[in-house]
Amino acid sequence: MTNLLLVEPAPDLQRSLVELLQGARYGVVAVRNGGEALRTLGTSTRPSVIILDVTIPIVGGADLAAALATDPRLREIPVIVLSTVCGQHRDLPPRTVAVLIGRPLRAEVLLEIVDRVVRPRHAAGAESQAEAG
Amino acid sequence: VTSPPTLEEYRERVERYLAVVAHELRTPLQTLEHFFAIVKQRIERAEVPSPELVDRATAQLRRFAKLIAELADTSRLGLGHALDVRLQQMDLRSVVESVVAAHRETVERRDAQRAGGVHSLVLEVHGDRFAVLGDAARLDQVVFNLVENALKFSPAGGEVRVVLDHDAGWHRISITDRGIGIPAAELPRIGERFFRASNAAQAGTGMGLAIIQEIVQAHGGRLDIVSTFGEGTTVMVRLADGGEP
Repeated sequence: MTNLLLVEPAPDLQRSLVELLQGARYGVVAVRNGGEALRTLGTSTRPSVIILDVTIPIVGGADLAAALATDPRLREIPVIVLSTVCGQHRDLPPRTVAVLIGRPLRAEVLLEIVDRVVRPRHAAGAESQAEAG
Repeated sequence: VTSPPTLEEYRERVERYLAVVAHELRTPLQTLEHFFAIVKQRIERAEVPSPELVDRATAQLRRFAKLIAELADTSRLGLGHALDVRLQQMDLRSVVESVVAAHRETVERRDAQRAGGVHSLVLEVHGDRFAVLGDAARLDQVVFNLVENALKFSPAGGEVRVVLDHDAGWHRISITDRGIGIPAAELPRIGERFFRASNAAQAGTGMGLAIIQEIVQAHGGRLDIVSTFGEGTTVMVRLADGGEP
């Protein structure tokens, strides 16, 4: 199973995002802020993608971005940033593959982006695309 | 005596308010968007969405409706209009009991997900006649928001105590928390429109108490706040007796 790390401070939103992503057959570890994300990254399996909500200023968000930039183990993890504001993010994590702006953000759009980011890594293993439905 | 806010202060407050309202409206909307996507995923797999999932979505809708209602009240007050309050004979006790029950349900569902434990929400009723001339929906709004504030500004696992009793001819509702309290210097300003205490870290519009104050006044009642910074707050609503129910 492809594992994702979700950094979402709003409890209700975190819960619904976890269910949405699990419903799309991803394994999800959810944390509330950058500090928790770093602790999780230090102890559990390396996620295939990090989904980072920057709408609410994240405690330890700068530390997270710095760690993602410098740690060779973490440097290659793609990051999808969720935001409601355009053009305000100067300190994006280095492997930011998409900044999804707006809320409500269509669930299909998020799932499609995650799928697109994850897929090349599994292409070698000839992962079936049939699951997407 | 505190001086009224300057035009500049007021403008800043209104701008902050609009940003907060936009943010607060987006969160339930986003959660509902997820809800429908989750329901679709489950239907596609011939699974039945759980009643609990639907309850959570309904709670988000209520949150959304509540914000819209607050926005409408804010607009009325800003235009200098009175809030829509229709008085009739009613029982205050049933309002308080139903609000506490609704909050208990939310708290149990929400706090179970959080570290620090479940808030304890205690209701004490002393006396047996609580007939008032009131607007049940508006008084529900008052008590709901006051209990919500008490929960919001007190630590996880903390106690919030709601007491309904009689005091010198008034019916009195007291809501006490052991939360962050309000700095003494800011206490006189706490009912001002868009005002937020400097130690309020949680999201909020700063309109809740201003609207509550208006509603209580429209009932000929009194709103009093006693608070110790760092220790907790008691908010008291006093309403006159409404005769035989």
